[in-house]
Amino acid sequence: MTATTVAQQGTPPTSPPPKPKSDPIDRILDVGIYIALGVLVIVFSIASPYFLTVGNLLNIGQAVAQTGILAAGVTIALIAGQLDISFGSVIAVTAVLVAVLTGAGLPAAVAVLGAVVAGLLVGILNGVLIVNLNISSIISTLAVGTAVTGAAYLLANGQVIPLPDPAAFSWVNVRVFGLPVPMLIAIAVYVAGWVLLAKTKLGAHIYAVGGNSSAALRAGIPVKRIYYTVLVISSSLAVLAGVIVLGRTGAGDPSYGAADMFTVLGAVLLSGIGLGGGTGSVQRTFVGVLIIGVLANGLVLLGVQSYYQQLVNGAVLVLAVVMEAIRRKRRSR
Amino acid sequence: MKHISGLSSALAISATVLLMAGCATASNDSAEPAAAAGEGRYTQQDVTDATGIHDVTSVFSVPKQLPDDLNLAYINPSLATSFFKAMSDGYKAAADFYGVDLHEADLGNFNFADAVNKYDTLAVFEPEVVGILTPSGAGLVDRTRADGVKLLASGIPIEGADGFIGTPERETGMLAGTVLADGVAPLLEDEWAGRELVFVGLGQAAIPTTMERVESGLEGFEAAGIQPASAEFPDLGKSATVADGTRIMADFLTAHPDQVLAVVAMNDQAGVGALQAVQAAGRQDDVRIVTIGADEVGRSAFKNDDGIIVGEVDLNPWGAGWRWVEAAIALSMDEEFVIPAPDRVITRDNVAELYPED
Amino acid sequence: MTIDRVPTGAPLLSVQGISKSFGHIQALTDVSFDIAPGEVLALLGDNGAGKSTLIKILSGLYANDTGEIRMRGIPQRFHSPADAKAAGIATVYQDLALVDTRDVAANLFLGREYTKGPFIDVKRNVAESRRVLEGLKLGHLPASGVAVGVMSGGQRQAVAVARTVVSGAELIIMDEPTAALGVSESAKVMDLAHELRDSGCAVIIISHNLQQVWDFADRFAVLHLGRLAGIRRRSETTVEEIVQLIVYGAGEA
Repeated sequence: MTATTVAQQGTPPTSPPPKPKSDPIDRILDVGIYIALGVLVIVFSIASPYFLTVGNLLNIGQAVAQTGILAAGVTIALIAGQLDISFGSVIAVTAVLVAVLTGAGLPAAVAVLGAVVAGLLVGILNGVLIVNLNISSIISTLAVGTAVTGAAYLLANGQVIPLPDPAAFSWVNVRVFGLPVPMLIAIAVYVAGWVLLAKTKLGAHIYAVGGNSSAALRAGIPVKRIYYTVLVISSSLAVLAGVIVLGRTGAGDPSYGAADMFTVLGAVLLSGIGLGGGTGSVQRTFVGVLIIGVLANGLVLLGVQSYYQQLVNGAVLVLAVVMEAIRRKRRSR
Repeated sequence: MKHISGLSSALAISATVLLMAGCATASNDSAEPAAAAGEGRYTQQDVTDATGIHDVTSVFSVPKQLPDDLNLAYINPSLATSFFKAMSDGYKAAADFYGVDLHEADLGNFNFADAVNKYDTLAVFEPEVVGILTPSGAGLVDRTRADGVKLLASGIPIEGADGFIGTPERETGMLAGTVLADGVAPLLEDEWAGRELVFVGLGQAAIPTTMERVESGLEGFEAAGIQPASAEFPDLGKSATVADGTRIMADFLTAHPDQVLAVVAMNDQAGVGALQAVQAAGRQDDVRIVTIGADEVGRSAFKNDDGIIVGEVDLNPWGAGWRWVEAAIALSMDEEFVIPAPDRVITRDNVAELYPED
Repeated sequence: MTIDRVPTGAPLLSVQGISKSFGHIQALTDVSFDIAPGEVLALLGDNGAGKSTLIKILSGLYANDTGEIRMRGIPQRFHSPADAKAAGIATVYQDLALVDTRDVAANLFLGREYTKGPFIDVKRNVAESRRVLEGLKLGHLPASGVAVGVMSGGQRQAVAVARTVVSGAELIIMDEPTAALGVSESAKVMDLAHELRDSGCAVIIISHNLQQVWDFADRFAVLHLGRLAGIRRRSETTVEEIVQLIVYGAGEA
């Protein structure tokens, strides 16, 4: 055995190895969504004189607020490695519960508090299935979401329940300094989400848990508590979105939220977050949300038939998934 | 012809041109019919000529001279549903004919939560009147009122809206019930004699107008002198698609293995779905169905229905779209419009004659 | 390189008569050894010799059935990895337990970040990371901005080792640190072990590749079928003797 040769090779490195850098294709993948958003804005601005007007841009802001708030919650949970798809059901149950409770004569604030409690329970129930029973998050939240949607239908007796006093929620439709309230709420959510993820210890732990849960556990990070935290954040944001929908439509309908699955997951996937956990940011999700919102708005302005709209939306999603596949393939080399 | 906007207008216009190819009058051949038409109002004859096989009964006599920038918007609940697609074609054709702008948005698959957002998008065109079919329109009432835009509810009344146009549910349902009674009466004398008859109304519990429609079906059925042993109203759920009809009916058949069923379906989709369930269960001899709508899905079902569909109350979806435009113009002028009850029933015998293009 | 350096003073870790069985399988029988500060001990043995079990006991994952573990003379009872860590024992597993999507600073201070209230003190974490890296002659590694997932196997191993320094460990256990590495990277990891030793830590390297650890360890502890077949100081043994111990145990050596 000639062990000495090893020793000779084991001299300290004379020059540091080059700092690992992301290569051009990775960078294109990273900035791709910004380019896509820019191209869409330019194309729609040229194609429709209405697109690049203050009124229309505020409409987009208003329309994406709901998707955006939901997508922020999904992003935070997904960074921790949990795909929460129960948000639609929380919207339904929030809208119905508030409509039913105010209909029974309770003050709007108490009714909303009831919805907040319901949202927390959904988050906790998701946590019990995922954390304590060790069931995958997509299955857990699908199951909980289905049950909660059922509960919303039951509560509403299958009916659309008009708010007895829509004025109590008319603040949703108010504009502050010309800016729609839901848009301001969404902006606040994104700023808070950015601070949480990028600046706080909790945020760092969310990334760590999503990136490598067993490493996080061995480093003394309370992994289970983090899972519960992100799931409750996600469901709480869905309650917030539900209140906005309620204020916008003036009625509680158990079918609300069912159609948000595509737009929300589309926006989140567009951000390039991937489903593995440990990466992503609310800023990038925000861009994904804007892309979906700009597309929906622009295609209506152009009078494009909705079949084509679905086609375009689907194509965007396929693009997002393909980009993610390329990304993953490159990472695993 | 005044353009709607963008890409869809090209499609809509070409479709309209095809539809109008057989028209006798030349009044809509010019590029700007409203401007070129001179004084007076369009008559029922003009509309009959212009709508050809769609045979629209006008709800409002539209002036030939309209404000240049009269602008309408319609938020369609689901262009993927043939009834609402036909309606879309109808209002686009009417907008072209009367020379008004019309912009359209689609809620996808009945995503009513998005209605206000879609309204906001269309609001940049500053429409005078906006139309929508939704069971939850309260928020939209506030929004349109704030903008000074008139809200013309379509199909489902909205409390606080400026107007409503739709089929009178009670009369529609009664007619359906009568047609159904006519269809099953001979059977009760013969194959169905001595068997337990169940009346089935397929509606959406969440949308009261659809329930009124099918409940009136029972009323009409009984008014024709037939007493079912029981009447049941299973809920189709949120969207009332063919799949919903199949699902609900399949279970219903399982739960009623020995009974014979007389079914009023709130729309063609539910009726055709129920038909498929009946055929799959081999219960062709036990069920008769009447549907309401007579859209493409309903009409084509006659080709292979084993004689189960006894008739379809013709809501003339294309015509409903056309008439929404007439009503919207009336509303913009603060004038009245009259909603006629449906009186036409499509059967396997007359479908080819009444809808030769199918 | 001071390869014949002899540790002095009281043992850092003292293991006395440790046994462990899983059902009917006796994984470890009466294992005893000491390790002093500033010493590198190679723990050798074939697959199934009991290396993993011993390491898991020392790092608090398993409880020993009999015997005693002392750190600096104080008897220890480990109920969890946290207990072992608190006693100053850190283990670098083969999976490295790194969060690949995060940078070096985030990994070094994982779970023990410097904070200002609820906020991360990023500057301080990065500065401290630089200090730790430079102390281990790893100054060439970027402390921030580059995810460790894109680094080479050796660099990642280095980050995992550096983290044990941050944790204030006195005894660092490296589980097959070179298993997935090439020759040159393996050598760098061994150099790192020496840096740790020179800073006063004790290091246990688990390996089944004698060739890789031969030049770097002060002593060799060989396990055979759950028993300690022998402990040899490098200056007093030969490769052949160690191989004998690994293959045949104490009986034939």
